[in-house]
Amino acid sequence: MEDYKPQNNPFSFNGRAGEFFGIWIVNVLLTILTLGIYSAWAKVRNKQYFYGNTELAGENFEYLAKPLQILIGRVIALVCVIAWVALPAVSEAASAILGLAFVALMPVLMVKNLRFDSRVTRYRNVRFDFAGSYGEAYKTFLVLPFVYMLSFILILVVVSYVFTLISSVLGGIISVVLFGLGITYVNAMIATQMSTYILNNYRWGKLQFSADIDSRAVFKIFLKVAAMGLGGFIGLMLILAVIAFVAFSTDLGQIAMMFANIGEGGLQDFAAKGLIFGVIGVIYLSFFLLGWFVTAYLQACIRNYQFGQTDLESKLYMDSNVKPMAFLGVMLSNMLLTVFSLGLAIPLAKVRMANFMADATAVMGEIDTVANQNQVSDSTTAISDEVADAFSIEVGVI
Amino acid sequence: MNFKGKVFVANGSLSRAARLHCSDEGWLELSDEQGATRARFDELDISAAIGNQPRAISFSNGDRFVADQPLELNAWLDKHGQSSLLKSFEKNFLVIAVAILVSAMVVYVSIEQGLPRLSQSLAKHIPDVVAVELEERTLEQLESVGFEPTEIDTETQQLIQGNFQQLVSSIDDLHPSPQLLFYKLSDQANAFALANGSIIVTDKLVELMQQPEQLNGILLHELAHVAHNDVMAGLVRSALVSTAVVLLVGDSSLLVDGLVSAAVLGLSMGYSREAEASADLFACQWSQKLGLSEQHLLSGYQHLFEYAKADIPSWISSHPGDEERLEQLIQCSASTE
Repeated sequence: MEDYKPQNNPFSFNGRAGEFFGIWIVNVLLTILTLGIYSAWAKVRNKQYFYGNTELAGENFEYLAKPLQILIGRVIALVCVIAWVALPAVSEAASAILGLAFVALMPVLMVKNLRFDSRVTRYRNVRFDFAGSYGEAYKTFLVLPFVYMLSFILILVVVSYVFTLISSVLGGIISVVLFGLGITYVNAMIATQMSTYILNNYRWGKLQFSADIDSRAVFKIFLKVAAMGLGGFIGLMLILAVIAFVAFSTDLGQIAMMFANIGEGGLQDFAAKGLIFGVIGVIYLSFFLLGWFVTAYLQACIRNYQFGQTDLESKLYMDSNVKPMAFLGVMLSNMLLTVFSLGLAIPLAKVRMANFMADATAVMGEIDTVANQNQVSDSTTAISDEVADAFSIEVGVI
Repeated sequence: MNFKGKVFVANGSLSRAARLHCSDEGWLELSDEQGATRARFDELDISAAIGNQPRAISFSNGDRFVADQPLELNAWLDKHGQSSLLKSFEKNFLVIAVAILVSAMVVYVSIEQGLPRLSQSLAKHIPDVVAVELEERTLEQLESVGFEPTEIDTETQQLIQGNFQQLVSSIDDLHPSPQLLFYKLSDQANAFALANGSIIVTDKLVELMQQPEQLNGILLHELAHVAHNDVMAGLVRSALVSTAVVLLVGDSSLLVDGLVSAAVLGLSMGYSREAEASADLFACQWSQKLGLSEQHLLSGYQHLFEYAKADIPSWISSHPGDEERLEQLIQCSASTE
């Protein structure tokens, strides 16, 4: 008997690339033949495939959205996009008002989006839900970020000014350091507020999720990632400087010859051209790699932390263990696969990512003994709600 | 037929062992220790048939049955009218092959044919103020990207301007009346059109020509871009490509970010080859119509090509290969004699 160690239920993904390829390509074909209308059905079928093949403690997830809900959403979203694109040509004032309206409505759309996505997800006969209020959403997504940013800017200005009175060099240094640390901290605070709001409002049936997100922990992650990004950037710049220095100081004549040869375009300068383009290419690529690495690292750390803090009424505990480098590897190899197959390997890439994510995720606790009751049913969705729901799902896509 | 499995009872998450009796007459009966429920197919909610996914059967009272041997239940459902045409398509190699072929063709045709046409026709509807504004901003920014005031002497400038005005006045069809502007861009020989019809010629290009008349062909080529509204069409095209790519890959993660920017760059670089070829044709035809020397036309192009001697292979660049273009020009001028 394992009394102290809770049962570990890893996620597993049972989809296969070959099988999904057929589904995907038929989706593409039907979408083309119906001039895009089928895309709503295609989305549902894709989701059903991925949810239905995601297994936790012997049971699969289900995706229950109706294609028509999605189609309505897509039509409305399309109208909005057209209005967005066409309005500036008609009237600048109208397009400005539309832009402001969009910002003002953003929290509502996000809430509806979260609610729709969770309500159409079912596990063990019980649907998920999102119970966040609009008021809290406005506070979290609009008011607090604005207040934080404003007070940060005020503090920054005052402190910089005071130190500049003492010494302009000191003032400069303090301002730069304060800005770097401050902006990271403010972003960590905002991110903490947002994930606290979202995670604590998820429901599974009558059970509530709760997550204790600490802004200091998020700040630490942000700082670490920022330091790595900055360090990598400075390192690459140094290498670039060294290459430039070596190249120009050792033999200026040779370099000049090389460039002259490129201009002439003779056969013999392929080597020289190759060298120059090679060096430029490698440096260019390393900046891209650095960007991807930083993003992958940040995503992995944040996910691991947030999952680790989340539980379901102290009965079930979420666990995520995404290894940043492995995540980056899957990301990059997926990208290469997609590019070199001219898109045909997209299904393979999606299945690989789903496999990777499932393998890195688990739930601790006795899932099959948790008594839960479904709270959401199809019939509660009113037509107006459906339109709004459908509209909001597409907001994430735009 | 009977299937063993479990039932999640009455919208709840707890399950217990159950048995599903499937009758060939089209009804199912779910029984467990607590009792039994019977329902016809049309009263049930059977989850979709996708790949080898286990299909669950939901009853109207909130019970949900999952078989221990899901594949056997799937097979039974398939046999009794609950299969899906879609699923058989998705497993059919012929359908898949046709789907790949058709999709590839549609993508190819819409990029090769649809995109240029759509952007041309959309560009026509863009109000003139946009073009004017764009051109003003481009001109303001030229200096910041290395353009310097011209160093060509006034006499040559006036000569070329004279030629240019003559060309412009004889070509109908030029909606905004184009201006010719000279700039120095270190050693680069180039000419290009802006959004509202102004044409910029670099000092080096003028230097390359032994006589100002040799420039006429290149000016005509740029005037063709103005007449065909290629600049706005190019802008519309890159906007379309980026929107389409974002919409297509919208729901995927950042792994496609790099791919997206590469695709957008590749498809929106410069004008299309067709636009270039038709501009060359335009230059040739008008130079014949106006009775300009065809020797000047050809040597103007030749001087530019020899100097630039593009290193970029033609499949990647927006201009067709130099030799190809010269050959077409020679053909064109020979054809009407």
